[in-house]
Amino acid sequence: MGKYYQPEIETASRERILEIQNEKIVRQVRHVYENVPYYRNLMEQRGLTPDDIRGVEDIHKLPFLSKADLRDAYPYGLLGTDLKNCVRIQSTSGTTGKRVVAFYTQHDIDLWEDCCARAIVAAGGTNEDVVQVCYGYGLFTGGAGLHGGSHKVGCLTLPMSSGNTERQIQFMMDLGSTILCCTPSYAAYIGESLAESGYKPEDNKLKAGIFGAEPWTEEMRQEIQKSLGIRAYDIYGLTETSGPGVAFECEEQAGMHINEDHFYVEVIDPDTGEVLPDGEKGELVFTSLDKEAFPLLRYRTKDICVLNRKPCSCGRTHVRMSKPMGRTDDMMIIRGVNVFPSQIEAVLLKEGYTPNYQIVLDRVKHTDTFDIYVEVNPDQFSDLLSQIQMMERNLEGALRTMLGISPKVHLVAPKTIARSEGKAVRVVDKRKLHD
Amino acid sequence: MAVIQLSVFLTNQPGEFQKALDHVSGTGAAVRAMSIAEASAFGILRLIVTKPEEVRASLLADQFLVKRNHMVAVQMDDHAEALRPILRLLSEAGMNIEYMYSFTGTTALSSYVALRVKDYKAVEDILLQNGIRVLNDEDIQL
Repeated sequence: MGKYYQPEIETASRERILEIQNEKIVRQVRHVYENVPYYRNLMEQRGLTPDDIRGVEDIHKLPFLSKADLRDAYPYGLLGTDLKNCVRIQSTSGTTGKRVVAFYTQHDIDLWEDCCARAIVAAGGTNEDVVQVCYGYGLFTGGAGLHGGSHKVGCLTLPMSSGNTERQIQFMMDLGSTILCCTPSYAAYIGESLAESGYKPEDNKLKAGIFGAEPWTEEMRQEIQKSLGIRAYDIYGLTETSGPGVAFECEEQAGMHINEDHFYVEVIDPDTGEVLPDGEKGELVFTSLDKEAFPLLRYRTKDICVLNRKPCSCGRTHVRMSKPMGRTDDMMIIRGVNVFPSQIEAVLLKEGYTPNYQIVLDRVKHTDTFDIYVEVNPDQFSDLLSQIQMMERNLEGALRTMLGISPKVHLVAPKTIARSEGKAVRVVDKRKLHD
Repeated sequence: MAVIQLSVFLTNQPGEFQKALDHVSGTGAAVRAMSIAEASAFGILRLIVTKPEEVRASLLADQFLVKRNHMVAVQMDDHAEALRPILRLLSEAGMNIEYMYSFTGTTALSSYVALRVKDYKAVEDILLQNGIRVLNDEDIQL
C-alpha cells in the first residue's frame, strides 16, 4: 500500500475535484428535496427547486441547517431514505433535547469508513499495522469510525474501547500495537502510565497516533509525541456529518485535509451567514455530497476555523482546515464529550436547586477536571455532614446520567457564586487551549 | 428541655469563620460550645450560644445559611467511665448518636457532652428516668 488510500481522488486536480462536487451536489440536492420534506419546506420558503442548484457555486443559495433543526426534526425528520434501507445509527451523548441521532445505509458506512481509512494511511498505516482503537465503542462515532477504517486498510484491529488503562498497556505491549486511536488527553494519559510502569518511549512499537474528538494544542502534540515516541495526527468529524474522518492530518501536520469528494466546506460569518473568503476565520459549514440516509445540506458546525487552499507537500489536493479555534455557542468539550451549560441547569432545577452554579474546567495530568459549584438550597441544608455529602453524590449521579461523564459537585453557600454585572459567570475554563 | 444548636454553612475560604463569629460577639452573646465538621469545599460550624435567637437573626440578615436544632446536653461526672452509662442506656434503647462534642461549664471541672440524636425528647426521657442530668436553655444562660 502506498502513501494514499485512494490516490486517484486524494491527489486529484482541483478541476477534477470541482467536477466531482458539481456532479454530486446536483444529485444530492435532488435526493434531499424528494426525500426530506423538512428540508424541501425550507427550500420552498426560499422559492428554490433542485433546478436552481446546478453546481457548488449555487450552494450559497441553500438554507442552513443547525442543531435546532435536528432537534425539531428528531428523530426521523431529516431521514433521506426508508428506514428499511438503513443499517446503523450513531448518536451523540447528551440530553434528549440535544441528542443527535444519525442514520446510515451500508453505502454511507462505506464512505465514512473510507474517510477513516484515508486518515489511517495518511498516518502511515498499511495492512501490516496493528491498530489499537481506544475510542469508546457504542453510540459514539469514534470507536465505530476508526474501527471500520482500520478494517478497510486491512490492519489488525484491536477493538479496545476506552478505559481500563492497565489492559490497554498490556495489549499494546504484548501484541505490538503500531497505531493508537483515541482522544488526545487519553493518549497523554497512556504515555504517563507507561512511564510510571517503567517503560521508555522506545519500548513500545507504536509509530503513530490518530487523535480527535476534543480540541488539543501544539504543545500537547509535542508532549504526546515525546512520551509515546510517535507522530501524533489530528482527525476531525462530527456525528451530524457521519463521524471522524471528515478531515484528517497528513505527514505535514499542518491542518487537516477535508474529504472534499464527500463534503463541501464553507466558512461563514456566524452573525450574517455570509460566506467568507478563504483564509478568514469563521464558522465551518458542511454539505454532504453523497449521503443516502442522513444527508445534511449546509450544516452549521458552530466550530470556528480557517481554511487553507495552498498546495500541500504531501501531494493531497484537498483543502485543509485549521484545528477548531473555538465555538460560536457555549458548548464545552470535556473528556471528548459535548456538554452544554443548559443541560446542567436542567438537572439542577429538576433536583430542587437554584440555577446558580459555576463550572470550572481544568486539565490536570492531561485529563480534564470537571467541577461544578452549586449553591445549596436553604430548605435542604442540614447540620448533618453526611446528609450534605449525600446531596452532592446524588447530584453527581443525576448529572452523570444526563451528561455521560461525571462531574465533581461542590455545594457552596447561597449567593456565593461570583457574578459579573449581575449575571453569574457560568463557565471558568482554565484549560488554556488557544494560547 | 434540651439546648438549641445553631449550624452555620461556611464556604471553605479564609475569613468565613471569623465573619460568622462576629455575629455572636456583635449580639453580645457568649459561645458555650463549638465544633466544626469539615468537607472539601465547605464546613458546618455548630454553635451553642447564650442568645441563639438573636445570633440566628443576625446571621440570617447577613445571608448566612443557618439551621436550628436541639441537642441533648448531658452533665458528666469527672471520671474515666463517665460516658459509659449514657451510651449503654442509648444502645439498649436502640438509639443512634449522629455526632457529639464535649464542652465545659462555668464551674471548675464541670463537663458536658452535646449529643445529636434523631429524637431528642425520647433520649432525654430515658436519661432523666435514670437520674442523669440534662441541661436546658436556661442552664446555658448562666
